[in-house]
Amino acid sequence: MTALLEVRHLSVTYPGDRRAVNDISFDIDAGETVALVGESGCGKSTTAYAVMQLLGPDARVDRNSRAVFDGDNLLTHSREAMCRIRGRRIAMIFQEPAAALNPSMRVGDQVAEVAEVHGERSHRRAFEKAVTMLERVGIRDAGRRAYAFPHELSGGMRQRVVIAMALLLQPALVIADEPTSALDVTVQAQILALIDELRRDAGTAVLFITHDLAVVAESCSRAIVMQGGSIVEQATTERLFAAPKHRHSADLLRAVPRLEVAP
Amino acid sequence: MSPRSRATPRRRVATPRLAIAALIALVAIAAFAPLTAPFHPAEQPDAALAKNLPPSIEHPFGTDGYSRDVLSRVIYGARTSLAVAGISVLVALALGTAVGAVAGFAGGNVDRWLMRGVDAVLSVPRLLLLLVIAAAFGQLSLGGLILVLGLTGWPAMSRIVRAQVREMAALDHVLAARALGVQPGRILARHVMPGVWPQVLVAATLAVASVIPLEAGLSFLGLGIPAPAPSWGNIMLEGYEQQLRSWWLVVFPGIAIITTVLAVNVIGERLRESLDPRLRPPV
Repeated sequence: MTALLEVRHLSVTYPGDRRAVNDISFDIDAGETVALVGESGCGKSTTAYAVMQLLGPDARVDRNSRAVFDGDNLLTHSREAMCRIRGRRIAMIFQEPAAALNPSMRVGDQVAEVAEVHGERSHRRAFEKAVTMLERVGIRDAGRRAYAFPHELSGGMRQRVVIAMALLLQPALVIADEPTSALDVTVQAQILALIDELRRDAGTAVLFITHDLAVVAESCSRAIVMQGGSIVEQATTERLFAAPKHRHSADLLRAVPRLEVAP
Repeated sequence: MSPRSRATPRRRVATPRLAIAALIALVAIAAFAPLTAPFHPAEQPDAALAKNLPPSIEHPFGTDGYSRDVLSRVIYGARTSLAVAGISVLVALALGTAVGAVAGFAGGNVDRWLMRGVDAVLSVPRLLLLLVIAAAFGQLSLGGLILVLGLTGWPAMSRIVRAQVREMAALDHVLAARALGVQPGRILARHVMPGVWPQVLVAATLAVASVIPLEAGLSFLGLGIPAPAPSWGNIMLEGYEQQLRSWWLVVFPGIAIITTVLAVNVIGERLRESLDPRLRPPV
């Protein structure tokens, strides 16, 4: 069986020959949850943005790099072709829900826009779909809340709206870039549970980009550990936590703060 | 009823009543000049005896050197001055927004070339440019004056728009919109420009407030609105030609200019506040 996303020899260079990502290869299977773990600056976000063709104009993706999805290399797609894939086949959830939402649009209109740009002609139908989705992500009174502006919602609610946008069209893959690090600890768990529930329902694969090993332990079946632009270890979550092979993985695990009960 | 057309809850931002009232009154008086002005602006009742009269009951703003009623001339002059300012700013706004939005959103070489052009135009002081144009074409018609003011006003506008577009385009929600497959044109229209319009509005207001004195200045120099037709600037020019002996020729159009500029500025500032969604009360 071929993987949903096959990344092969991906390299990204920034001006001044700074290699952000150095010849990495990995697979994501349909319906799987994979973590891309590492310290900030290790190239994990750059990897995701490269696959989505969302890197800035300065970044250069190596010619030999490939990211095969649905049988096509995403890295050579035209801008128009990428527009058709983003949001419909691959979607993203961002770290900072307050910033990821347009402050001048009502949240219902923003969720509805995803349907509109991917072929829904009627704003009314798109909006109804958005309200249904907002209900599914756990926003009570969604019919009324859909008319709210982002600043009128709490951080957790906003992240639910962002998730509603990402999952509206049941994409095959969702890239979640630090989806919980801007949220309260109690809300974090709810959001992770929500992503997991929606993933199960729709059979969506999720790529978690995170430095938070708690997220990995809780949500992911497999982890890819990156350091300095390279992959240093790929393992199932259990094996990684039980017996990390690479020294950096072990370092990351040791760096997790623990609560010690005073004697 | 489509969901988007649902009524927006009423804003609680206080309105600058005095400025709005002043501007509405001014526009109404100017628009209905034949009804509101006591005399025809060109009427010379008695060129020998009724000239250079100070303010009185019959002529509240006095009369000028041709015995014309200054109040009537200020009222008719408001028509010219407001129309010239309003339309020329619209011209500048349309051009400036188009150029600034394209440059700021496209970036790269498009941006570089457009902005070098803007820099070139802006390197010549606007008044100087207007004087050169006036010298080259002689006395301009009303339409010509509007066009010239508009064509010299857009570069400043485009810079403001470009800066704001770039700032907006760098925000995360624009990246998020791209990540969801929203096409560039739609991103510009729905995710970038809504954050730009308030700035454009404020810039336009300031532009109106700066074009009114500019037109007055040109008319004062005899390069703007040609003589028999009144404008605030050329009424003051007559006062100047009389070496300020008839102070009312300078003071009343001056008050008209100051009032208008102040009112327009206050309204623009308040508009900016009310267009900012962060200042809206919760649903």
